[in-house]
Amino acid sequence: MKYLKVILTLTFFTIIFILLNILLKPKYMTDLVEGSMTNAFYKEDMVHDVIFIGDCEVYANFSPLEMYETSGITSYVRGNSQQLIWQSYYLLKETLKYETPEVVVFNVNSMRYSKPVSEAYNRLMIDNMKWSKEKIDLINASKTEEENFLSYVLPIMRYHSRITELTKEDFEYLFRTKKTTYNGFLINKNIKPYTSFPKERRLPTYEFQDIDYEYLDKIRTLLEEKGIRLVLIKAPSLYPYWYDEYETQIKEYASTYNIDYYNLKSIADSIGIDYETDTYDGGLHLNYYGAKKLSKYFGELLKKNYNLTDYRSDAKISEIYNKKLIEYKKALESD
Amino acid sequence: MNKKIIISILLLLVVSIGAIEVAVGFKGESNPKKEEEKDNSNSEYVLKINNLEIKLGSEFSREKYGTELEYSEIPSCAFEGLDKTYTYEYYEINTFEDNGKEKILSVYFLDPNITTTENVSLGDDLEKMTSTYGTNYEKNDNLYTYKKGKTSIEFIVENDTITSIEYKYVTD
Amino acid sequence: MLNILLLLLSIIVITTFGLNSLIFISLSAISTYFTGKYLEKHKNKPLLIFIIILNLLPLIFFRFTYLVNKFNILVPIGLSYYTLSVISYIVDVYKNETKSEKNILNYLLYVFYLPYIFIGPISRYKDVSKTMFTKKKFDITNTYKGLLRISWGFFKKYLIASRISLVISSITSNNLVGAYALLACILYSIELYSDFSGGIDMVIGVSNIFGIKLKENFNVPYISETIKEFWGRWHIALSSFLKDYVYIPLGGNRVSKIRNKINIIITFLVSGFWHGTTYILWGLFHGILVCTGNLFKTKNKYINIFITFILTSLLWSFFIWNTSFIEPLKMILSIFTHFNYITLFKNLTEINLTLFNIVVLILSILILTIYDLKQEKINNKISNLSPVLKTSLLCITVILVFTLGVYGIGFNHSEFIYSKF
Repeated sequence: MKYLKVILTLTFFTIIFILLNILLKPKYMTDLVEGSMTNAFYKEDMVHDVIFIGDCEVYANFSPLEMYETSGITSYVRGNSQQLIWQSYYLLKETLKYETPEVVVFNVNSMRYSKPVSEAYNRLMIDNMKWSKEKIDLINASKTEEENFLSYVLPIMRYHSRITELTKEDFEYLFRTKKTTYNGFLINKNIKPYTSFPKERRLPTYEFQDIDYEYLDKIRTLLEEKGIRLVLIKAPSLYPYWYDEYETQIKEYASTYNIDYYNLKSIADSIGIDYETDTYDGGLHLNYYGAKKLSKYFGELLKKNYNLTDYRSDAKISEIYNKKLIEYKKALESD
Repeated sequence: MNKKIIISILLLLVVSIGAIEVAVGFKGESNPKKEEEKDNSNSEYVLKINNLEIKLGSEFSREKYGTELEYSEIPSCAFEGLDKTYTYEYYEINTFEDNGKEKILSVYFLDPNITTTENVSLGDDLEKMTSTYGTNYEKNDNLYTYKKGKTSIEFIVENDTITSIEYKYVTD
Repeated sequence: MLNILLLLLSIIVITTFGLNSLIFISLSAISTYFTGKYLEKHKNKPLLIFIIILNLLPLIFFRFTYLVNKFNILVPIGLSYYTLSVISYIVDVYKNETKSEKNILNYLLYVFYLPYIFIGPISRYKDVSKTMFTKKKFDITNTYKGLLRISWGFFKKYLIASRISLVISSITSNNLVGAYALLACILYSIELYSDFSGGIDMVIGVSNIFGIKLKENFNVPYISETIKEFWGRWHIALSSFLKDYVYIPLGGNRVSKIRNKINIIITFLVSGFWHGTTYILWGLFHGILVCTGNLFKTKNKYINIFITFILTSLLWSFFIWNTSFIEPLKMILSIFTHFNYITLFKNLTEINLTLFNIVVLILSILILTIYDLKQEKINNKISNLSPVLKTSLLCITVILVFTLGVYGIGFNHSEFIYSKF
């Protein structure tokens, strides 16, 4: 009896402690919505034929709903800001626990990074990921020197200083979330034309590092085992520079393993992308208008080259997608 | 009595070594201090181009460095905050935000017409670099980094030719 | 059995700080263990002195930073603490104040005991041997006591000390002087006390759980009316070590007045040196202040406490600006020459004194003060609480530390100040 009381007390305070953890963790609902992309996927109630993985160059440049509208294929973007290649690998691994797509499209931009870049980006991606072996591996592969694993288990260790910065958002979205992305696509309708970028710099080395190849191999073999096609792309973007040396290496890799590689950056002109109107940050990422053009082009290409099903005539799926499209259009108008 | 003598000797030993250290310590501490007051260039790299002194980590202003030929901002995905680059005829100045002030993060050489304060320019060979700055560098692939305090000079040397020079400031 | 586990754990953790830590500590432990056994039967003074010097040598060597840099070796962890522990053991055995330890495992545990190797308290064999080597039994009262003590240590460290360190580091890194220097000194008094005593709380708390009794290291130091009294209440383990093994052997107060003053000053110089070479001046000043005796003492108790607090605070400047001898003096001087109080009060947020930080600091320091002044009463009350209330108190403290503590990314996380000595 005595011990029961103590156990009840402990339970009570543990619940308070857990609540505090939830309260202090950023909600990523109105500010920094990029932090809500990983968990948005868990709410998705159907499977897809195509999965995109990569960094901001995928979630800003490819809109699955546009692709559905123009070519009828189903797809989802699992991208995050500065998503490094090992992060893409573990996120892909997690995705494959939920579904088995026909094609996985990987944007190769992150091949240039061989070290964790910033704690803040790790947080955006990992904070809201469901716990799994993949998450544990992902944290261990991603954390910078200053970070410790425990702070991912107990977010209060990272965010306790937010106690003075709590806003309405933190209470409003304590136990719920709202839609921030559309099949992983983040709408941005701002226009900021290209002006200039710093001069192209010489680099200490142009060779991708071993760790990048290691994870590219892992992605490739993981997909091979499951009989999924891997497609490599380089998304259109003017900066950071995509060096010729990078291009050569990717092409070499693609031909060695007989993988398709599309450099969409080099054909951006013919797709109709205009950096005067189609970018929201002067040419790093495409805005909605650019993404619309690119999605139309690439959706058709995928459908044709990989024999993907056109679901617009499938009653069940088209019903779901038509609903999604209505929501998406609404968001576009209000944005 | 005996006990006292022995302990006194012991203490004398400790205290006298301490005293020596005090003396040495005073010297050791005050010397670099004086140098710092006299001339910062001994503890940090400062770039001088003609009569213009560009001090890394100091506040950037157009009045001092002139109007740039080109200006670009690079936003980072998701976060606010921009990397700003001011391009001049022979070099670029990159800045960062610190407590609301815009400070100089790095200076990148664009042209062999200018040299580092120690007279090394783009196009020079590796030997020129090592004879000027010594061999106490960190090497990563083709990148050679010389560090001094919170500043560094980075050279990229390809086929024995310096193809990139950048002065950098370490932010924390 | 548990003792062996404790010993093993200690060895493993110490080794993670570098193999040389383990080697130095082992050499100290083994050399004193065997000489202790020998000296108990054969009173051989030269041997005693030889072994003391042998053990002091590393301590002296590692105090000279330029030597350490030159040879590029890591300072063994806990050097300052275990060296004094083994010396006190060997001297006490020699003087027949305690019997030598026969069981080498017990002796190793005494030297290696993990909780106190980092920040003390410097332990005496004759004190800890009573409870350290007995068979351990789980005791719920002791465990609660220990856990509460540990959480209280965390409270002091992360709510008070780390929060103040944010303020002080922004003052020092921006080279602020005058009013800022005064503020730094006063706040540092509180920081150092919360930090050091908080660490000791954790050590004593852990030991409580194992049923090992350690001596208290602090006795409300800032209510001292004189500097002399202060040294009876602050870092008691070090003061009493120096008293027993330096001051009294020198002759203590059974000598001429002048000789006595010299003894006091020598003792404080040693104390300064124990902290490091840049602290010698600090030791000297404290020595002089102790010699002056009641010079600053008035009839009013509160004025005395205030004066003593200000004096010790100003002298902590040697800990704040500890890179040179001149800097602290310059800073103290600037307090009297730079009257920038208005700038200070206008720019409190710039030195991390946001409204939130000020409120948390005031409240937590208030709790600390009340607890310190009413320690016995409060401890009695707490030990009479029901297990549910004890658990609640523990949980509340833990949650407070997690939520309001200053630690982790975004804050400058700092280690215990006294673990570097």
